Amino acid sequence: MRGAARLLYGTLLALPGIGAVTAVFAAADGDAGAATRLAYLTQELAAAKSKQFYLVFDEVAPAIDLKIEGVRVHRFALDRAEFGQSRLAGTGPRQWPAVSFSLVSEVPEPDRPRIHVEKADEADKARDVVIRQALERGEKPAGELSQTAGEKVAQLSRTDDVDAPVTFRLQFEPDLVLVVRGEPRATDLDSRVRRAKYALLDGWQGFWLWLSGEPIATRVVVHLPPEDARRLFKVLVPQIRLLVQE
Amino acid sequence: MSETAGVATADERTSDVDGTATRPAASSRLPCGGRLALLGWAAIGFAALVASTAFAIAWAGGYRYVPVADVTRAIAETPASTAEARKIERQLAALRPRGHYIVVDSTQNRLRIMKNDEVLREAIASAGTGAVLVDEATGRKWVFETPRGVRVVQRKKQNPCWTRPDWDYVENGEPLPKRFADRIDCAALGDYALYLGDGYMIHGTLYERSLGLSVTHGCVRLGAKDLEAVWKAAPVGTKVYLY
Repeated sequence: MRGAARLLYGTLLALPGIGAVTAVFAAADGDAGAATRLAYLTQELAAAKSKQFYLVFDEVAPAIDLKIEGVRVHRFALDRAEFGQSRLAGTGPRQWPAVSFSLVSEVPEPDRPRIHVEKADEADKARDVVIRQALERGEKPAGELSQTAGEKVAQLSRTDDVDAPVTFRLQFEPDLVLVVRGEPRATDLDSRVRRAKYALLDGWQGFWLWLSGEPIATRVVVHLPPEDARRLFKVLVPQIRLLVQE
Repeated sequence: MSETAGVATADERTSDVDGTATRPAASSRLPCGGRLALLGWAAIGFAALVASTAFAIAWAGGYRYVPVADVTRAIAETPASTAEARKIERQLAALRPRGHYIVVDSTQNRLRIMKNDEVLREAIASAGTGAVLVDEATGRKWVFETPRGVRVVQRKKQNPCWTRPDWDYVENGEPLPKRFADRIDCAALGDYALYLGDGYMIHGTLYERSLGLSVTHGCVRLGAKDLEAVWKAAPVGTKVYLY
């Protein structure tokens, strides 16, 4: 009986101590969280003030947002996102190297179709004038306006999307590689061999960098639908910032 | 294989110091074929060693992946202050438009009227072709692309008239008019125009059949009903984000 009472008193006495320790750890966690949030907000404010587009990686969603002036204009929803760190970096905690990154990969100029000047047929021109006059009066015209140069070009440029890559790598500073995969993982032999080849090359390159004492870039692989990957490629501008959202 | 294969002669025997006969030398024990086989195995072993080393190096230098949600965020070096964070949040909020704003997706040819992250209306639009026009006679060149970035509605006009620029004549293979008045076209822009600066506008079109396609010279075209909605929702000073 006396033993049980002693145990009870002991537990009651120990409780405030346990609470205090927990509070200290929680405060430390809170400080770290607040520091990270402050760092992110500082970077976002700078990006927003620049009046340039910037990307925000939302790891919880997961998604990549296209923003300007703090306004999200488009969200690229990700199927999944993986964070890769070189095995040679050790087994320590996985950590983003920074809160804000700047694109250093070259952004290629899009292929621009050239408009071929074609003198309109006189009969077509006369018909267009009649149709336009009818439209101006708010009447239903008896026919369609001739195809414009823009419409002819649009037929060509509709295939432009196909030219935009669905899988690409973007190098950011400091030391981050964003790998965008806009296609499902192919399981045919060729694809497996190609992936194995790249994995080997990456590994050797990583090992060589490690030997030469150079940092090995952290890598983030994002998977998204092909059309979104193309659109992401199209919104890139040189030196676009990438922020990692708190 | 010869009959004496594997049998050492007396001369070929090696002996210890005390002269005791021991095992024959390997070179004498293996015939030519055996030596080749040994070399072959040695080569295979060496290749396997090289390959396994190469794979081990590649594995070690390679990446280990985890879901991004499991990753710790970079910790700032500066001490955190909640008050400071709130101050920055207020500054960020001040940068964002308070009322309506317009977002133009020139890749998908869509225009959205927005308020506080909420889409009030989405319209099918037409943005720039991205094409190039070259005037062979003068060498002048135009790129018909919708600008990207942030602009504001600088002014608005009902029943606007368009002053046809030189490129419109070049594109249509027509000679440039001698009189300025001949350039005026009061039908092309529809009922309303919202001017965004540098000659770019949000306006209507006679070619509603092309909405949803990239057919313009950089302006944003809308159908009549959507244009009217934008006209009503976007006063002068409204922010327009184009990407």
